Amino acid sequence: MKNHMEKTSSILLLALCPALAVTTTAMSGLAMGITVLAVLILSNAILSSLRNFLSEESRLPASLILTALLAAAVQLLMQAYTADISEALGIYLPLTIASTLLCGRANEYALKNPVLPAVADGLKTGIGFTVSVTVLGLVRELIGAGTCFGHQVMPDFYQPVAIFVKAPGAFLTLALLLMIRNAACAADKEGGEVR
Amino acid sequence: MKALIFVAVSMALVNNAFLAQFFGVKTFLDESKQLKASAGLGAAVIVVITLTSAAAGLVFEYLLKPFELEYLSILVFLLLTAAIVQLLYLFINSSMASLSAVFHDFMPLLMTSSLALGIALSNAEEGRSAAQSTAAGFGTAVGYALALILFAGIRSRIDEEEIPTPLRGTPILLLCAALISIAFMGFGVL
Repeated sequence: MKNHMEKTSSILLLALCPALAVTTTAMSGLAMGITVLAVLILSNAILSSLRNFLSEESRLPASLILTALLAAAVQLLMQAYTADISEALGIYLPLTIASTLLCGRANEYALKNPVLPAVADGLKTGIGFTVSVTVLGLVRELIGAGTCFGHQVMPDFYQPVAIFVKAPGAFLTLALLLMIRNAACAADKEGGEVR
Repeated sequence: MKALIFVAVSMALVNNAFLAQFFGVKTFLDESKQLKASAGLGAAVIVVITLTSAAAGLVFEYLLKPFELEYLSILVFLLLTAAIVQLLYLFINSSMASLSAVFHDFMPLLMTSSLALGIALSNAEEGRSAAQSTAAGFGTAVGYALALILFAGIRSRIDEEEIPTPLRGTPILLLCAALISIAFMGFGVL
């Protein structure tokens, strides 16, 4: 459990760059997460099935091209079928996909392992990412706008803290979430030693 | 000319790449450890990003747009960045040996960072011309370098302080980033 938490948040950190910009609501966080999940599974499956044909030098160009193609394909698909979500995510969708796949080194595992484990790894990483960005969006939306998935949940007298849906709020929320996670991990560790 | 300067300044201060648009956050947090290293990265970023956004702007305006190939822009921008970074590295290696050590560490980072792709995509999105894209790229890179150097200064202070355990590492850096980001919002009213 602890290991998984640590892994999840490091993945979030790697890909967090562009994701921070659009996680102002829980809904856009969820949409971003699910899209990245699908792309991760797909790219892991493709790269791992190609792994025997790629030499050491051709790996980086190959994964660059694959990433770009998947990002472009996803953007076109979303523009065609879910126009309002694609509008809300904007250029941050291809950016997040690119940085998850390239900076996140998600490809490295896929290039060394058979298809099934690679897909499983993509699924695990993607779910961790989805949960993280949804929670991030949920917290920011709740504090910054007093709503949850678009529904008013805070009482009427609650004054929304608008800074949470602006840029500084993204850093602030992520800092607080990581702090809570660190504290939980530390507590977990201590508990383990007592036992 | 005045318009170009305006674009550059607004990208550097108001729409700061790191603090307002979240391009290249990972690189930022990893590389702002020392003032000297971040100045080096800042310089590299300014060169690379100005070049890539100029190239991406030219390609977008004269190749992709006239032939209605906008859907290829992600692919083209990513490959263009990788190619320019690689070429620049070869050039610096052969002609400016003293600089090659500085650039060597940052090459893979610059190649895969979301910074270059983000600027190229937002330039295309905003419909900027090639000249405006270059100005925007330069401004963005200067803003990024400025934030990087500011952050490295703060970071050297953080290292000396007693910080509550759960906040150590990334959380305190993000808190600082939030505060600088609030400070930079002040430029928005200009």
